Amino acid sequence: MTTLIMPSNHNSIKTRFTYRFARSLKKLNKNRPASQSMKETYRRYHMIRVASYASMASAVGPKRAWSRAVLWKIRNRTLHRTLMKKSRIHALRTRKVSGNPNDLRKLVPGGEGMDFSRLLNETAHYIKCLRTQVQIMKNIVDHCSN
Amino acid sequence: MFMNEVNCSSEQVENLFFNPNLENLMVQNDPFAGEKIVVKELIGRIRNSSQISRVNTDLRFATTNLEYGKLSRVSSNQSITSTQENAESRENSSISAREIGLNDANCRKRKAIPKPKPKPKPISSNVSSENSESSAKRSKSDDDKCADPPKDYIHVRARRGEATDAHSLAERVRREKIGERMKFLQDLVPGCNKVTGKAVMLDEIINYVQSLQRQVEFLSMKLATVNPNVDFNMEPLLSKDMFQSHGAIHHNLQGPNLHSVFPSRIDVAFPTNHFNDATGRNQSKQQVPVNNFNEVVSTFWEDDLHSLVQMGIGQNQTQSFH
Repeated sequence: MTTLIMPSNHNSIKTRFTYRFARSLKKLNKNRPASQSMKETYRRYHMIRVASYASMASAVGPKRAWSRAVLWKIRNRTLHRTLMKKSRIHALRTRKVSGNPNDLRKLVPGGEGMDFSRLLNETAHYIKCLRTQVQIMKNIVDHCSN
Repeated sequence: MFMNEVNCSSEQVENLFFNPNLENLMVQNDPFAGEKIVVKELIGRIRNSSQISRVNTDLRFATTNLEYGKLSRVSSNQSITSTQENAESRENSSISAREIGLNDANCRKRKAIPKPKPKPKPISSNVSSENSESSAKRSKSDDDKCADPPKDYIHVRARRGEATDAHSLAERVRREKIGERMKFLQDLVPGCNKVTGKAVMLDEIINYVQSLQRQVEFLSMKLATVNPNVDFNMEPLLSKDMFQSHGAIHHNLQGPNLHSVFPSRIDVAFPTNHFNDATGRNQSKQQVPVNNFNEVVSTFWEDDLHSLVQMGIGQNQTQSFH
């Protein structure tokens, strides 16, 4: 049933991310009720999104500033989870409105306290990892939908 | 002040001999005196152009300098006033030809000694107090030519005509680093080959990162609604091509409830597949869909979140995945 066939190259970011994300997806899907309410689906969406960013950040490791920032943010978020319900709704509303932020620093996690050339460096790596993430998630969706 | 320069190199000696001829010229050719004075002022101010390595006192040289738009650069650089420039402007506004000839002689000597690459900053301090300082720097750059460069954290050579203080050197290094990284990002972000300039590039990068993040959101939403298979084989997950997933998802989402929402979003979203594959064919067209994708996504999340969830639930109930 739970057959996870590992490929030959264990150490690429792609492999690590896929492994972690598949594992977390499995965990999330274990407790899945038969019929989902809207709220449940929304919560699941949120958890899957956090899981994908977390698995990518942990696959990258602490080498990069953006991965450290992502992991730190997630850890803090789980600590203050109950306190953040109202602020989460508020953040969702404001995020919809902000169509195009002027600053790259807000987009790249951990980009606030950096000088510009380092920010560009981190952006390049972040774009590469985001691309991998998107590609693998697409493959997973495709695989699940077949 | 001449004595410092005489000791440095041999070209100087040539220029020393060269100078009196210039002064004679200045005296003789009266009808063009005014023009020549202006031109010589420019020669005095401008270190060199990139094309010419050796300073000539030809009018031809001076006019080529003018053609390459050095005037504009000179005027812009004067906003970065230093005491050197003030002294120089004071000198160069002097009326007598002999003074100007002398000034130009000094300038020419100074230009001859270091032969670094050009950059248009008008620092040719003739009589100012920074003489000793600039000559010290020049002798240092001379040493750079002769022997190994002095031990430093970062070896940067001051270009010809550029300020040699540490701040502008560090500034130049920083600018070059940023330019190099912008070029690397240009290769990463698709559709940025024709774009020049930092601001537009930054906008493109921001748009691309935003679109990638929104794709992650969309896909995780999709994953939340899709009924998963139990076993995950890693190989097909990792090795699948982008085009395959493109076609497959298109095929799967042609459900009856989803025509209104999903295909429009998918059609808009998956041109970004072409982005990721970096095919250079339709990039100008695909700039528009990415922006539309962003707008569509933002409006989507504003209005249709609930409807999407309901459609997703409907998809679970009506569609079979086997």
